[in-house]
Amino acid sequence: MVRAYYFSALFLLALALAVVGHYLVTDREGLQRSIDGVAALTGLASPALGVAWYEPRLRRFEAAFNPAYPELLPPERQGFIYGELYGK
Amino acid sequence: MGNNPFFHFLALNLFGERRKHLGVIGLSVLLIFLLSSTLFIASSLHTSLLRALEKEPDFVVQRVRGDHLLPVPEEWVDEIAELHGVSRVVPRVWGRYHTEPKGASFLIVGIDFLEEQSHPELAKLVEGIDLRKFLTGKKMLVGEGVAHWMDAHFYPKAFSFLTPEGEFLKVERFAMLPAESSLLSRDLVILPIESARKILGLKETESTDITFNVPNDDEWGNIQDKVSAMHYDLRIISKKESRKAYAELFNYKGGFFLVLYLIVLLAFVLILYQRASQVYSQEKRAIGILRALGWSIRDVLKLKIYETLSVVFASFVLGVSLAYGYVFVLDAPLLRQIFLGSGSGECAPPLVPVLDFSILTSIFLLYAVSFLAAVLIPVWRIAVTDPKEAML
Repeated sequence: MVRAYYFSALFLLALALAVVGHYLVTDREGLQRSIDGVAALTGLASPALGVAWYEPRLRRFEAAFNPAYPELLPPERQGFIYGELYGK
Repeated sequence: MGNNPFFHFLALNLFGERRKHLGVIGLSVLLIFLLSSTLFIASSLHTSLLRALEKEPDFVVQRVRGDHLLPVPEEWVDEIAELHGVSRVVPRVWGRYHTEPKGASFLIVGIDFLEEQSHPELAKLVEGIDLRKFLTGKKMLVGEGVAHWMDAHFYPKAFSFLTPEGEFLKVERFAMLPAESSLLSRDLVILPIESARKILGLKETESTDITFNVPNDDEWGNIQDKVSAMHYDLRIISKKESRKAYAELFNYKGGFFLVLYLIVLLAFVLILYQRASQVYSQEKRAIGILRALGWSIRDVLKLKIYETLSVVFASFVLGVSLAYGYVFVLDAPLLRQIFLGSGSGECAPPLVPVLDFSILTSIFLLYAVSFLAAVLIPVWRIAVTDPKEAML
């Protein structure tokens, strides 16, 4: 039983080390540099969400409208999760 | 430790009741996995977007009437450039292009490639790009999602955009933006600014908005007031407001996730307490025997604490490791769509690994404390009763 305990502990330690190893080995800066490059070129840092046609893609810079009722406030599908994101 | 009888007894206890412990570990791993995955995705997106936001200009000026965006006239660029303390005043051309009334939409961004700043940025972004070849003729750079859409809809080399004047503008696909940047560029189409104006229906003297920088942070308020006073239909958005909004965007403390987390935690504690109560009679007899053999209350509690901590650590390490692998190795299929929308199914942007130790510590402490309380309180109640009564 003690041996089983040791093996379990070693397995968990190996798992933790694998996580730390992957974190250290991954080129995090390279990934981030690609994202920063697009933001620097276009000047737009808004994420490409899978938005519907009536929702804003650039949440701070454009207001969505419903063509049927243009004076209504846009239905914020993501608004409940993310909260308001207007630069007003 | 190998010859310690207490450790031997602990190991015997743990593996002797493995079914009970595996059940609890399984449940705990599932809860920690779900919570950690959500928090890993949120913190990765949060970190990436905040970093990308630093590359945006300090201020954006728009023309708004009745909450509708109108094109900004070129004269506004000169008016803003005349202000002291303002640098890099650039008109920006962007807009959404819908392929059909409710179909796929692309974000069209027009870049003035005559501007000095854009060349090195472009060269850095798309390695090996022949800039001269790109600037001759009508060519575009597309994001991964756009490239996939074009391939699927039989536009492998070029796409004809329908302009508001009813004319078609054929633009050749030159290169694809790096897949690593698809968090921002998945639906992006980068064109020369003249082509973008034609597609979006803007005149040569118009742009979507104007951006500028103010290098001195102390001047921001002053410049913002001066620009706001220039025209009645002008709206100015600062990067500070955007930064604050982004900070709240994926903040798990902000309402929704906290409510979910509290409900999950409460359910978990109730399940654990109920489970601990179910083995009440067996546990009671075992503790009664230990007390009758001369174990003190402290020794009994020490055994149970070590047993529980072993289960807690095992569950936590397993749960967090599985969550890390799911999010940063497999790119979180299904769960990422909560954050990135259903359209992100085909082209998953790789998530930058971020390990926020404060979040991990909070998860561990909340989980460990509630688990320990759910197990130790009944054990303590049994341990303080008379051994003869406990063994009945």
